[in-house]
Amino acid sequence: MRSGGALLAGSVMCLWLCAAACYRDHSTAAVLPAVYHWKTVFSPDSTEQVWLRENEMRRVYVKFFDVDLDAREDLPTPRASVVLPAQLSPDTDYVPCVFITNRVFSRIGETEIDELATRVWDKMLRMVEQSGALPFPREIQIDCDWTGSTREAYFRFLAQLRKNLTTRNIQLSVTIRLHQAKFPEETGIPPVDRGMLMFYNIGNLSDLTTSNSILNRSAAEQYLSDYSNYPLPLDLALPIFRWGVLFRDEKLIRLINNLEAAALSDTTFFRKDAPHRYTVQKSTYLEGYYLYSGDQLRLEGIRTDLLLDVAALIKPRLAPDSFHLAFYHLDPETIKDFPHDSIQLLLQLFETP
Amino acid sequence: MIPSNFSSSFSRHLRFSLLVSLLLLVLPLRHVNGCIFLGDEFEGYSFLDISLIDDKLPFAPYLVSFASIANAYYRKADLRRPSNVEEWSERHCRKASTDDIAYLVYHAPVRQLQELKRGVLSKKDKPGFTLLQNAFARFIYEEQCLETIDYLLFARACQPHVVERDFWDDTPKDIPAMQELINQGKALFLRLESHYIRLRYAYQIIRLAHYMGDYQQTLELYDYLMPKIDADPSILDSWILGHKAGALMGLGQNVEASYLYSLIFEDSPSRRESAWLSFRITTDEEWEACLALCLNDRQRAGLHVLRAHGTDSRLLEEMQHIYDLDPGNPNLELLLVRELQRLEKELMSVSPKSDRHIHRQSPPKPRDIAGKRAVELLAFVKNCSTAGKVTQPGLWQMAQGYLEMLTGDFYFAARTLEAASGDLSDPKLRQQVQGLQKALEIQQISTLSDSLEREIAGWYNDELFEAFPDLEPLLEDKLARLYRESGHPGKAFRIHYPLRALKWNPDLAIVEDLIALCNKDRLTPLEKKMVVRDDGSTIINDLYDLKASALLARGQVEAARETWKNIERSRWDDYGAFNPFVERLKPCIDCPLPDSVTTFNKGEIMERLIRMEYDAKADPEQSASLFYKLGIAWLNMSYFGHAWEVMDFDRNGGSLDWASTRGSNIFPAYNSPLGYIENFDLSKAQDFFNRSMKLAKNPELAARAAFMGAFCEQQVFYTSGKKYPMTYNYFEKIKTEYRNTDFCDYIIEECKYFSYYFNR
Repeated sequence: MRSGGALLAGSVMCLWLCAAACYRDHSTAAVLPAVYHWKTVFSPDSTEQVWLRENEMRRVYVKFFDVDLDAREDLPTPRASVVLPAQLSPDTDYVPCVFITNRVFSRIGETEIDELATRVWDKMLRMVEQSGALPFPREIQIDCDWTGSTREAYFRFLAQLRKNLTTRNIQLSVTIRLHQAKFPEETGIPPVDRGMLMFYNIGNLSDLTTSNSILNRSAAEQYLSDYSNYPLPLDLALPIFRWGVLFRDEKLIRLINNLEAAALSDTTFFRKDAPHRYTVQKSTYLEGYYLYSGDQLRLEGIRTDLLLDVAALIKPRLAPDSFHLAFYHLDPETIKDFPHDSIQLLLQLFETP
Repeated sequence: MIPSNFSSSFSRHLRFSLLVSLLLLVLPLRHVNGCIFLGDEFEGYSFLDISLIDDKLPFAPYLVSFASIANAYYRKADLRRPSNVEEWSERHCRKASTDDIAYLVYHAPVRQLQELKRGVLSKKDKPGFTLLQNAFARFIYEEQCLETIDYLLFARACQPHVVERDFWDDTPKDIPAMQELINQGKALFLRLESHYIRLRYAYQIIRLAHYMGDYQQTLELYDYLMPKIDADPSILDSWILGHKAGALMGLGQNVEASYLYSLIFEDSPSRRESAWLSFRITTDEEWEACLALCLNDRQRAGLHVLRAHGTDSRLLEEMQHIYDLDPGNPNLELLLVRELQRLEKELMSVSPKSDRHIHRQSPPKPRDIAGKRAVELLAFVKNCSTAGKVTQPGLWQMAQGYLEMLTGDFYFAARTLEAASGDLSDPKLRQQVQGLQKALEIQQISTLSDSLEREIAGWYNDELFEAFPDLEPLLEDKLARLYRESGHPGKAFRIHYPLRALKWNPDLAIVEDLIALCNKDRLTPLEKKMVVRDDGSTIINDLYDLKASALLARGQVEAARETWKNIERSRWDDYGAFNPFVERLKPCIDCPLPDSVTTFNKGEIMERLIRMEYDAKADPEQSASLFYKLGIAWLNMSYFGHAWEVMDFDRNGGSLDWASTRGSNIFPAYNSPLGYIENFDLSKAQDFFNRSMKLAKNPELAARAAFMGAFCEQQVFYTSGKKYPMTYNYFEKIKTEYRNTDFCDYIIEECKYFSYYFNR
């Protein structure tokens, strides 16, 4: 009886110590601002440079290239390699990213997976070396929306890639979709050092009646889970982009990046049906795409108050560690809606104990 | 990070189809757990014969799935080589086979080309026997074609710089070497006598400059070299123009480039796809500027044709523009057929994700937007039909009739198609109209009679049913609907499904209808197909067997026996022999019965069951024992016993696992709307075990009955979907009331499950 009581007391003590330690960590946990660059020419203009500097964005996740299956051979093939600048800010940490389509992992065999890991790493390394401006990376990131059927192949790829990185003291991170974070027992835990929780694209994009598929509070609430229990340390990515969703005959046709209401203000061509919803009155080209009379457009974007609202939902569910808060994505059009004050509000929300 | 590709490509669809086919081969006939309707690819009816379209039209090869043009382009072998070889052959009076030409142009080692050149330069240096076996090499040697062999050597030198590279290869292009080749080529070009060879040099040089990314030089070379060539029209003209267009695009002059691509598209089959892919107009101003570059309305209409073939283009709008500019444009018919195909998919189709069984019961309602589009297209088609400006007025009239049919205006559809059929000289179009008329006739059937059924039976031999394979499912779906509406569920079922699909889960209304049909005096040919075998006998005994087995499975023994008595006693053995009365404490489905065991046919089993129950009630001395035997029989005839075939016709070992999560005994089957049933119901067996337990004076028998009751209790728990906590009422009874029996000692030894319960 005595020993049982001692054990209980020990457990309580242990829990108390843990709670104290956790609290202490939380008060000192840092939120490190970062941003994604997901275009094919990385050459921040003056607006972007000012925005990066003002918001002390010391980390930029730069998409280096995509990997998809070659239409002719059905082999993994690099696409859309980024053009890197000759000069870059030396005090910024650049994380090379590679987007790999899920179908790549549904087609390739084991030996090809290992070869792909080597090729991806070699190409990234060559691009860093050839740029002359990028410092040697401390982390690289892979983006792939893996599924149950591709998990084994994808995780093998990651494990193989990680072998190449560990010897060079480079961390490997991956993007984690919300459903993957919520159901890790079903989707698996990738064999990497960190995960980037992508808190966006949560609504039903192809449904004409969806209000905002990028982010909305009710959909966000459905996806929430206790991220502090996720077996990997997590960073967090939040959206700051906007787009137009084009429907023809009530079917989703395409996305038009950075589309804003001002581009639809000419009533000869567009009729506003409801907030953020328009009908094409007269066929016309818009942002390079030909729109037919009768097409419907839904504008989706992010406001600071929505982001703060959702961020407040996420915050209590995060582990009390330092993490990168990455904004998707760097573009003169998107950052103009998120000036210094907005970014600071978000950072403060996460930093406040 | 952002979803960017929404359209499924043709290749993916093809692969999916292959996967489905493979699955169908691999999966058992009826059980496709989890993906139950995967095997049925029914997507609706199509009655368009796409061979109506002139296959020489630029887009004709992509009529079915032009959305995947890019994919098709990349997947197919390079079209340039065969057309290039063909032109070499033509320019050399077909003195050599295309294989010989292809070898020398593309594959011969440089040393062989040099060997040939030495031979051309000096008669003493005759090329080797092997080389001269090649007719093209022999021609060059005999005709002393020094310019040709020099060109082939130059082209070979250019090749490493222009072939497609491994995408992972980041090594930069050798720009100085490419420039050097341009300089060499230019110098050689000016000394050439043959204008055809000049054209070939120009192609190599301009292409090198384009691939170097030196767009300005590309244009300068084009302007410098091309006026100096006076050759007959060649495929190279379009190829060279393509490089000029590419350079213009590179310099941001996409309007001029797009105009050139539209010309290449029209003129050059080998560069058609790449021209279409490269065509790029991004604003209204650019579109207007591109139209302004066109020399005539045919070219202007061509721009609309290019735009019309975008993945999701609205064809009617583009067709209206084309018609206004160039009503005789043959692409109009192609676009018309393509739009008809789109509307067919909407208005005559079910969603691929839907299952055909459901569609047969209640056809899906087409989207309103599709009906609206059909009406709009109909107005345009009527206008074109009557104005008399289109190339194939008969095709337009056919389209009008079909659109009237699609929009439900059957009266006008019949009238239009009748008028169209009158003066058609094109046999394909005539057959198309006849196919539509037949489809219309099927859709207009409102009531059935024996005489009409006899007529319909003859349609199956009609050549139209071969030419338009979807007429058959259209007809059968229509007949099924009418049969159902007129109270003939059996006929409605059999028009689509084999008798074995009914056995998987017998529907008594269907069975009764088919029994009535078997007893009908004069069957129509269609009805004969449903219930008469090749030897002339009907399937009536099978139906009685089916009905009796189903009734027995529902616990209705007397009704089952009465049904069974409709089968002549001499045929009772035709439906198997079983013995459900054999006791097995360890259930085993597949273990054979000992040879010494007497077996019974189904009729005898039914009679025995009835008699045993009567005796059990009548004789208190035997009741406990007989109730126990009845319990054993009902357990053995259920899904869990070795005599399951008394009450069922098929059994899936995996059903139990599935039932444990679903809590149902009916499972979907991909090729039957009824699904398949498993006889999990153990209520009758359990009831008999309870009665035996209650009446038994011998505790050993009571313990046995309790143990079998425990088996039933456990299976009921699993098959109910585990909706409530597991109970151990029977185990508890054995443990508390029959613990001193030999049988209890026996099962403690033999049944670890009970042993655990007993000792815990």
